Amino acid sequence: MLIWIILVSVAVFLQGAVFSPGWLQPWGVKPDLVLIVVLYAAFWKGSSRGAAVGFIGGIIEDLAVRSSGGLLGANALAKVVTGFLFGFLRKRFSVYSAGFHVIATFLATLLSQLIFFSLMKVCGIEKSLNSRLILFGLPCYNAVIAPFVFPLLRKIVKKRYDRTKPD
Amino acid sequence: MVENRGLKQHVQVLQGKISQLSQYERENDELRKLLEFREKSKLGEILAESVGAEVIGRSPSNWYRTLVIDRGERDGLRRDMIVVSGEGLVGKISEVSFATSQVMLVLDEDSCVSASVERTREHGIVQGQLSDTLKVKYLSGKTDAVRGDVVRSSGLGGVYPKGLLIGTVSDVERADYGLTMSAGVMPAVDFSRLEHVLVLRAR
Repeated sequence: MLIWIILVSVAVFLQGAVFSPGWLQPWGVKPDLVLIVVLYAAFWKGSSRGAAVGFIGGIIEDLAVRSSGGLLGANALAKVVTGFLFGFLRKRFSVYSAGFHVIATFLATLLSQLIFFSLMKVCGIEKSLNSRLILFGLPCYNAVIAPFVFPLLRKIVKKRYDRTKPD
Repeated sequence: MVENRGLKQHVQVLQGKISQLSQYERENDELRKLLEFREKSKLGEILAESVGAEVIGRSPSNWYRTLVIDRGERDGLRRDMIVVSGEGLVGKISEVSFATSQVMLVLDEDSCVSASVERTREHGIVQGQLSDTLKVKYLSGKTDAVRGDVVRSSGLGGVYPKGLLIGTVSDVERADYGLTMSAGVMPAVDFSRLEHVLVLRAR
C-alpha cells in the first residue's frame, strides 16, 4: 500500500506545484492526477484497491491546502465511490485499450466531480459561476492525459514495487 | 581523454551555476518590485506595517484558489489581512496557523472586492471566477468603461484599502436582466509565478 500513498502524495504535489502556470490550465482547470492514480488502481487491481486508494488520495487532498472548503472527507468520499464503481469495469473491458482509458476516465472524472459538487451543495457551500467549466473541462483534461499517465504508473508500480504480484 | 572528461564536468558545474544565477535574478526582480511598490505606493503607513512573506504552497484543487505563505500568528498575522505583490492585489488571509497562513486569492469564487474603474470612477464588485480572469459586476447600465481601463480597489466595505491595483478591463458585457453591466478583468498579478508577497498588517 505504501506505493499508492507515495503516488497519490506525488499527484497532490504535482497538482499544486507543477500545474500552476496558465498554459497548463486550459479553461483555468488543472488535472485531477489523484483521480487518475485511483482509476489506475481500480482498473488494474480491482474495486477494493480502487476504493482504498480513493480514500487515501481523497483524504490527503482534503488535508492539503483548503481543497474541499472545510468539508473534510468530501474528496475522499467522491473518490472512494468512483474508485469502487469503476473497479468493476476491469472484468468487462480491456484495461490496456487507450480508447477505454479515455472514455472511462472521462466518465469517472465527471462522476467524481458531480459527487463532490453535490456534497458541497448539500452542505450549503454554493459554487455556481464557472462550475460548468470544472464539471466538463476537467473530465476532458483528465481523459486526454490518462492514456499517457497510465503506462507511466504501470511502469512505476510494476517494476519498482510490485514485481512479485501479477496485474 | 581525461582532460575532455574534466572539461565536461566543468561545463556541467557552470550550467548549474547559470541556472542558479537566473533563479536569483528572477527573485531579485520580484523583491525589487515589492520594494518599489512599498516606496512609491500612496498607502504610506499601511505599507510601513507590512510583512514580507514567501509562497510555500498552492492549492491542488480546482474549486479553490489559495496559496500558503511562510508567515503566521507568530509574525502577527491575522485573518482578513490583505496580501499584495509588487504588481497589485493578491488576496486576503483566510486561515492562520502558528507559522503559516492561507491566502484566498482574488481569483477564488468566494472572493469579493469593492472596486472602481479608475477613469470613469464607477464602482462595482470584483469577483473571482475559478479561472485566470476576474469579473467586475454591478457597473452602471450606461457604463462607458472600455478595454484597457484600470480597475483598483475602492476601499468601500473596509476590508481592502483604497487604490490597490486589481487589473485592467478586457471586455464589457450586459449582465443578467440588462439592468447592470459587468466587465472581464485581467488581473495585474501573474499568480502562477508569484513567489514573494507583502501582508498588510494595518488597514
